[in-house]
Amino acid sequence: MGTALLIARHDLRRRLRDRTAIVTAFIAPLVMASIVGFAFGRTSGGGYLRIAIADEDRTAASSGAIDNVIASAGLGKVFVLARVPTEAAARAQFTSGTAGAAVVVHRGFSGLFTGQVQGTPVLVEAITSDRRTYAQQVAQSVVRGLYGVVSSNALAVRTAFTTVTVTPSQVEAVGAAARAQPPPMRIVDDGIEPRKSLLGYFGPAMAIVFLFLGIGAGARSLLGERDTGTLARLKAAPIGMGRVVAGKVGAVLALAMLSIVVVWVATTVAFGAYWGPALAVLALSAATVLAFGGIALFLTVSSKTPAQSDATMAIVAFVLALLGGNFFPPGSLPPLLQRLALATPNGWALQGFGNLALDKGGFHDILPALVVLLVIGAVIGAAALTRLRSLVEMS
Amino acid sequence: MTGTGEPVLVCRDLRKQYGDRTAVNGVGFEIAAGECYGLLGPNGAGKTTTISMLCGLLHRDGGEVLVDGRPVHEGATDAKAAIGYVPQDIALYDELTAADNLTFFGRLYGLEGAHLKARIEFALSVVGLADRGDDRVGSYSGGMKRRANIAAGLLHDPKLLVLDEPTVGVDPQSRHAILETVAGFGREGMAVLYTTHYMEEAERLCDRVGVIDEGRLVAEGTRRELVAQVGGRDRVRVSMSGSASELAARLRTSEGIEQVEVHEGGIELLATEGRRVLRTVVDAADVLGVEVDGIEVVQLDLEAVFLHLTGKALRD
Repeated sequence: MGTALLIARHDLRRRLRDRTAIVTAFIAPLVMASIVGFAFGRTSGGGYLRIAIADEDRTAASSGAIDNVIASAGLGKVFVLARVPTEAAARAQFTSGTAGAAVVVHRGFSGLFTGQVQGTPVLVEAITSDRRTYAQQVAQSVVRGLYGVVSSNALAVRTAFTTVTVTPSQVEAVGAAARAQPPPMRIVDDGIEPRKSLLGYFGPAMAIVFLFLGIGAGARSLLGERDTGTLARLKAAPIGMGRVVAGKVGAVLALAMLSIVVVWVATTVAFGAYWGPALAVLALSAATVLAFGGIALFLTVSSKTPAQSDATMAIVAFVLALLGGNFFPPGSLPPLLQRLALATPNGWALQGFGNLALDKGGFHDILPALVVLLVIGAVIGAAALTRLRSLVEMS
Repeated sequence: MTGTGEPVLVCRDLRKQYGDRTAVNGVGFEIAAGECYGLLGPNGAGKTTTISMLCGLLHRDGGEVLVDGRPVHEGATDAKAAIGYVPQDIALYDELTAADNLTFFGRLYGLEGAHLKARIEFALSVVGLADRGDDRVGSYSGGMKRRANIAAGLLHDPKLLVLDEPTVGVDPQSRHAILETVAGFGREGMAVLYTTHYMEEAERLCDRVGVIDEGRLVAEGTRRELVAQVGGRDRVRVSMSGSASELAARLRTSEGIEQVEVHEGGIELLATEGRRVLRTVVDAADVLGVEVDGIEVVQLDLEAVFLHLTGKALRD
């Protein structure tokens, strides 16, 4: 064990002297996470998606319902509901792109609470575009949220007055009390700014992309030792081959883990990013490193030349990143691609990191992702180690 | 240098097959403490494969290897600790200093603390790099890298030092320094296995030479024994200004001289040992009053031996 640690320490030291490794492991993911996080975080002045909402009903009932939805805007860590004074202002913000979508509460909306609406007029309107599918979905959710307030309110009123005769003031009083209750879609606000949560998502998303490239470079340098002869010198030393392989692979994985932790600490300290509870973040990071370590090692040891390894790693890294959704906001992929993302290890890892950063989940919320990643790491990693050991012995 | 005592290395009937190709076929030899044994053969003859099996780097398909009485295989840590291996490639980390490289490799052999530091200083001084130990290996010249490569093999004071073509690609000055260094190891009592395809290096350094070709050890012995094995004789060229025929006639009946030919300006003798007939030639010339201008002994060299044994030149 001591010899494996000696080899791992030695390799880590060498890798940290390599400027390319520093850029790949630390600088590139930090820069990318910051750029992407800020880009989405600044689009709408706080959340990465802004929905403008105008109250043309201008009644206590409509205002209360809107307040209720804003306060609960659950989906809430990834978008902002911003009040604008008029329907025209809402439409202008939608047209200019300042808001991804607009919602207008029309005059007469409060009648829904007292059953005084005749016919089926449009009382809440979502102004969206098919080209802004994610904003469209969010706006529709807001509309459903407003009607949810109405439904719960009406239910409360009906329940209170089913068997008694009441005055209009009594109806209004019970209705006001019901409107104060949260709507069905309520998600608790934990006080963390949306941008910080987004950085908590894009931090690991970018770290994972470069993690894969970094592990590949580390594995390739291991095979490079075969060509330079240092591997032969290690084999000539009075140590078991298992320890040589363990030390070498350990160094690659340790650097990858260090890379994620540095991006985590840096985005947290510098930008106030929130990745989630520390223990859960560490566990998910370790599982991600193992899964990607296994895949990268397998691809590298299956390549015939360093050039082939480089090309394979680059292609696989970016295909996985695209399929897994590393470059996209959470939930923004079409349903088919969202399902496809879960066929990739980074898709699972991002789901886990999303659960922690965006949904404010804990350890139990990432268990499925942990299991999947560990299984991927174990199966592909075992195949890679078998092949690696064989290569080392034959060299 | 000459070997003494029990053999440090014993290898018997080594075999290695790569698919249909036989890389090493029944190679066996021994090296005693203080002896320098040269494994001489052209590129691709099986030298590196042989020493890879001797050092436990490569699984062998057959045969036996003992170093310091211990069997060698891939997991044989005791036997490996007695071997110092200097690979053909510069097996050092360019981005580290020579001292850092030696520290790492020394620790792999269990060296620590003051002892490790002392061994590093010793190894660097032996190869003439004592004042460059803190420089990055990447900044070294080719010859310095080769010498640092040797230092890494010496570090743990091995009983057997295996050098795989340590002078390939170096300048004459560095080659001379390396050969001087290696010659010193034998004097210190270390057993040395030296592979090369440079005949002059084998002749200069090695007490005994094994000639390997196409995976087989085709001959083994001292230079003289090898020459004798192929029926070789030294040529002695005598140049003179006077009549050669009289001197030639007298020498034809002398002991140790097998053949005498008269050429313009001198005679050429074929002798079992050229140096031993020098006195005979000078005495005969004195008696006959012939003025000798010069005498040259041309020994049959290993290049010629190799050519005779294998039908090909060493550098093929």
